Amino acid sequence: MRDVTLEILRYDPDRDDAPHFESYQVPAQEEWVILDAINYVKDHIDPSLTYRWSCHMAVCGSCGMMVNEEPKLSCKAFLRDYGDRIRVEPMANFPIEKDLVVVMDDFIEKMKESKTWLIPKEDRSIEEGEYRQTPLELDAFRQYSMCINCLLCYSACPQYALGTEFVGPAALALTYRYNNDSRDGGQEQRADVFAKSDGVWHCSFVGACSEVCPKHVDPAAAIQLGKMDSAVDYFTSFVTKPRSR
Amino acid sequence: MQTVSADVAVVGAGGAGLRAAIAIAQSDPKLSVALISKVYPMRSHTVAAEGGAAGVVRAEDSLAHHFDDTVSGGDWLCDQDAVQLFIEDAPRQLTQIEHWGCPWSRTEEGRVNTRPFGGMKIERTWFAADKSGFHILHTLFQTSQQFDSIRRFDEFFSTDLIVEDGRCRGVVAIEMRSGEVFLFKAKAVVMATGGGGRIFPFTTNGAIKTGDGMAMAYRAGVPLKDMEFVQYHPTGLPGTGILLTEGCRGEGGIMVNKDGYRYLQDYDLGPPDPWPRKKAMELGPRDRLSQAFWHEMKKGRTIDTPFGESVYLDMRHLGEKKINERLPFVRDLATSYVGADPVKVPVPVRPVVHYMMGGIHTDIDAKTPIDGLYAAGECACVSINGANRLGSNSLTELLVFGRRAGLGAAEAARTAGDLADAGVEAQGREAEARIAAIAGRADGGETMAGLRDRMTKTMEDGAGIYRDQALLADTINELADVKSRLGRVPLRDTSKVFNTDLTSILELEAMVEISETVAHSAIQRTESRGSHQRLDHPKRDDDAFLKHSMAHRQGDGAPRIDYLDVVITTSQPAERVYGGAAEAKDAKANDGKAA
Amino acid sequence: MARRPYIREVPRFSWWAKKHVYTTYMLREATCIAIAVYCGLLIVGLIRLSQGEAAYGAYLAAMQSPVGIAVQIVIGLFALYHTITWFTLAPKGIPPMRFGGERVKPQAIVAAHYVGWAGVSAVVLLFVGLV
Repeated sequence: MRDVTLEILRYDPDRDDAPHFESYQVPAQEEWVILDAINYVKDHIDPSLTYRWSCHMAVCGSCGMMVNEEPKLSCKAFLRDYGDRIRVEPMANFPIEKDLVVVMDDFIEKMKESKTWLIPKEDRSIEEGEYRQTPLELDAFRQYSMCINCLLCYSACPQYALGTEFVGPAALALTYRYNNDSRDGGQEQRADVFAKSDGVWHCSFVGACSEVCPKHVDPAAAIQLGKMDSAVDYFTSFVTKPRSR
Repeated sequence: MQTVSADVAVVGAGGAGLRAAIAIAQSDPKLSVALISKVYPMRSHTVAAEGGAAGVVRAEDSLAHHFDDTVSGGDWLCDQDAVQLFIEDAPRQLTQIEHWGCPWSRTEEGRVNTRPFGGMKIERTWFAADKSGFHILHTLFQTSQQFDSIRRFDEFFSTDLIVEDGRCRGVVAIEMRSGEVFLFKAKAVVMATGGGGRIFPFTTNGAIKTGDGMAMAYRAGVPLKDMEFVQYHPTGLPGTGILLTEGCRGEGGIMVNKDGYRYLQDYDLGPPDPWPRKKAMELGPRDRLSQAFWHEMKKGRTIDTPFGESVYLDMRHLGEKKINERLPFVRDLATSYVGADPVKVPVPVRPVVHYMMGGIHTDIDAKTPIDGLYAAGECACVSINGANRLGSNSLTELLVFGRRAGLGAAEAARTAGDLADAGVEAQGREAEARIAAIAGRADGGETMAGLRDRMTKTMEDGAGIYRDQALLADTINELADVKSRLGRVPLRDTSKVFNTDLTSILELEAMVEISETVAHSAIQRTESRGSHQRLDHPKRDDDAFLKHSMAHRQGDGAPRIDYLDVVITTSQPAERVYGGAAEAKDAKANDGKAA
Repeated sequence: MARRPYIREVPRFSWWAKKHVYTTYMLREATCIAIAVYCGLLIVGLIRLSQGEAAYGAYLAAMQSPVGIAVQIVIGLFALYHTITWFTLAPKGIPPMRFGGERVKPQAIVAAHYVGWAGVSAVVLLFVGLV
């Protein structure tokens, strides 16, 4: 047991002109995660504290926050790794709806614009069974399918901070995931968003997205490899019609 | 109050809700779908399922095996016509999401790979490493984006169903970001809101699993079926209740007590060798394994860890390569949350509330007794899960019955004709007034968290792995007291925007309501069957209780419980046997056939 | 009251000073200036060479002066930083490779770059030192 002070950035649009920090003393168990301490505040100190959470096992992607200025899933940020004063803020680079809840409409729209779903290379009926896909073919995109849409990568990305027209790490990684699925034939349809100046070419390879990704998706790699695909498409378009995988 | 009109409203955007919405959109693009969810679709708890989804695909397997495993696993409380339909459609629906991009693990030849699960005769669990639910959910969500007829209402907290002239006509929901109340007028409604494991203190379920949809249907007049059947998963991490998939044991993990002894052999699940043997020992059904833990604890053979009594799940012999390939998430979870790397040490585990077999009463077409109202997924009870769900049937159930609910609702909407709106709007305004009244409550000295903790504690005390008359009676009294105090919880958050204080009060009301149906159904079922074990009635009683419990709401009083016959087609109730006894029985049956 | 999302302003010009990872990134990008300066020095050297022995001799003398050496050391340090940071990022920019059925590990890719660098440097030193 140890007393921890949480400094939480609060913002109630009904009352506040701007966000401000408030401090809470929490008698914490050593094995707790930051989310447990925040739940303690809501249950025992201030029920109006507002944040998103659900699974408490780092897979639903709800509870992204800035913990001591780093984007973290609060359910997987352990108190044992922090001192006695911990600063918690809503994820950077997103508008604050209230307290620790941010507005994520922009990402939801980008997912759709990016056509992040399978566009089959060839149609197949259910009766014909599954598409054949070897473990090697699966391995080509599997890592990029692990994104839980927690948006920590957007919070870490300075390019997105400076201009939200950038499609951003998670949406681009998911586009790359489908482009590189052996069952997919939709690369050309996705190029309108993916291979443009606000797509992969907007990335200046800071690499912060990959550092904060809790699922080791490595969006920075997806984007660099996407640049390569885009470049190859550009040059081959002079001699032949655009490449399709 | 704002009004949105749609042909079909789908409440809940997890696996079942998304599958229903896609089925409607594909069957008739002209039908408008309002997909309403209190969280963004990818946050839904389908995401946390790890092990996989059952569907017959191997040549040596058969539909009959899947049928038998499911029915005997459910201790003969499953409706066998529903099970038959389910197992026949299962491989088709799993193939369908493969066609939508689900990254199932593969064999070297590129076919879908399968792994064994508990209570399963042949490997038939399709898996995507140990993130099967995650991949199914994201595949469905991403696929759903391409249908323009599906309009999503993310972070809309549903509170009430509108039933007018015996027909379900819509849903009332709060838009979280604005606090505005919306009336969704629809010709048919699909409930896909998940279970309510949060009525217990120690659960694999996420915070959102508060049984809201079950309570909405219950208040609208639909009985809740078989609510006393609550599944404990035998391998949760102590402290947090984080799930370690049955796939750990499917891949060969063993369970030992503090003496390093494979204790399951003492509970009719042996012999311990040769290994691996399907439907035996660690691959017995979940109810038996969780009950065995309880007995080990009573005998003082469990391990006292800082996080509570535990046994060990030992996977070391699988080796690092296999663990990394098949169980990477499990390794990450165990290492992070209890500091036990399964490659190097045994992992402490204990049973934890995982799944509710019971739910909104539906028929085989996912239709409830109210016209125009359908339900699928964990919130529903068809019933294919009986008294104990077979591991890896629930992900498949989302797909099979989610689709069915969608198709049923689409047909109901198409054939609805002109429906009068006046009563619908009046009901919407009433619901809005009820929500507004919460803000005006006086402080009666109670807190949401205080009452919630009392509810969860009494549920564990009285309605846990083992139950008896006296314990359940205490729980019923305690729940009634908690219920009487709900109106004394003041709303402390005065903001309209994203008011989670308000939604958690509404969630607590739903949880208390369904807790009562669990406790009352349990006290009246004076037998032991599957996950419902009565210390005072240890035997199964087919004469009196080969029946579904049906809990009907009686105003603010206790629910009324009556019964509905189980549908038996080909499998007559018999003794549930596992391990060596099951093989002996099979051998005897084969001898009988040969003779 | 209705919703009123609050947007936190990002400082347009000093954002990179806020965080270590951003600062190291800006420094990495800035190293290209040093590289460009050195390229300029080499081009000047070529021009001086074309202007005859005296001009080239003056150029060499300037390069060997204390100031010239100091400038080259600074540029050398920037070049070293440039090289190390890009080598670290190399695994992200290279399509996945396989060796004996296993994916080549990122550390192996980085190591290969260092080996390549050492090799090229050795050839250059051989050329400069022995010919």
